[in-house]
Amino acid sequence: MKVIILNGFKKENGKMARIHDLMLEQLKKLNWDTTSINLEDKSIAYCLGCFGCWVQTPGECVIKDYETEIVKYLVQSDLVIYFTPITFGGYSSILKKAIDRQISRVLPYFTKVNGEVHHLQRYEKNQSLIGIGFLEKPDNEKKEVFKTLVYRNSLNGASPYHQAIIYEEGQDPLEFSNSFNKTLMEVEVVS
Amino acid sequence: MNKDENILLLVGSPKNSSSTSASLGDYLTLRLEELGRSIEKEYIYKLIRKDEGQKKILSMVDNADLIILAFPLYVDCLPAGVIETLELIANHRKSLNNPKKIGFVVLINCGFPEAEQNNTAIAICKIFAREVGFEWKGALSLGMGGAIGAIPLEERGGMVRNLKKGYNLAAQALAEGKYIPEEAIELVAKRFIPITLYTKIGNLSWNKQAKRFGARKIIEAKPYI
Repeated sequence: MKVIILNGFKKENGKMARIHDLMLEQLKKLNWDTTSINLEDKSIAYCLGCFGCWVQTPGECVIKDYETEIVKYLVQSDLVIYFTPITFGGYSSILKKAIDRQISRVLPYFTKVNGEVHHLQRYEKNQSLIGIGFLEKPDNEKKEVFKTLVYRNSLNGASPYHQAIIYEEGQDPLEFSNSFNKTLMEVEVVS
Repeated sequence: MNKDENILLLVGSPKNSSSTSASLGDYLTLRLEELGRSIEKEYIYKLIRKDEGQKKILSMVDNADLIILAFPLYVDCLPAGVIETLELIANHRKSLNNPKKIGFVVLINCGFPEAEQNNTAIAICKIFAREVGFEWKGALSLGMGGAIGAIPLEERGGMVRNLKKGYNLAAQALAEGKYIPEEAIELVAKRFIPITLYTKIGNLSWNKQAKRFGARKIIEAKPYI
């Protein structure tokens, strides 16, 4: 199993370093081939909204920067993990910058999924998606929106499996670890 | 809302003035100008990359009584530059003693035919408003944004009559300091054309655009496998 973790935390926010280590430990135990990318360290431009990756250089963004490496790795992966502080219920801007540049993974053409219009997938292989969000304070509205966002992304990416895991400040890391492990087992079943 | 209050339009499309978000924002703010309100307009993607631009955004936000944020849906939520702007505003507001109440309106559009696909992004904007102490005035949510194609609504003919009606109602309500009425929200969310027609035209248009770049035959390329 090939896994890519897109880390959308700022380095100054060290609160999730322990959780990140726990994730890597679990993935190592399973012997899954894991690459974790600290997005803050990488030079990634904003998506220009030009659709060049659909109509000019299909499948490839017209901007050449580190995002090219991310997409190359991602399309060959079985699982993508979004690791982010929950920001108004969604992803951090650091993570979202990398996500916006991944629309080359789909085709411009429309299709219907669950009665709703989405884009056709470019590649046959699609990635399972786990969204791991950190909440500083309990907030049910943010939790629900975050879960919905991960679900919506899984629809657009035709993910065979999706799950949102929320880690709250002060929560026992072991609890997270168990939940993450269970989720990985479920990913393995569908892959 | 008094006539001397400031309205700030923030356009959150990376395409800046050549965007559907700008067309929508311009239409609403023109109506507000006709109702005697003064408007400031800025393009987020022209400012957010640099410290100086970020300072300008914050100064304009501090000066505003009503902020209208217009942006396109990007992968089920807000474009990264818009999220970065909201993060910036939130951090700034935390540093202020007793920050003033500012009204907040969202104009969102997506390329999918269903306006409902914007709901998660709207929920994120609402939480942002709650967190920074802005007063949520409502969101106008539009599907089939591709059909506007960055052209002023006045030049889009009968297709956008409900959209314009909805925006006119919203402008009137905002000028009176009220929330965006439900009727306006419903009018804006109405589909211009049937879904099957929209997707058919959309698919043909992608082929046409790819042909212009000599990429029609490789439009389904899989470069990374």
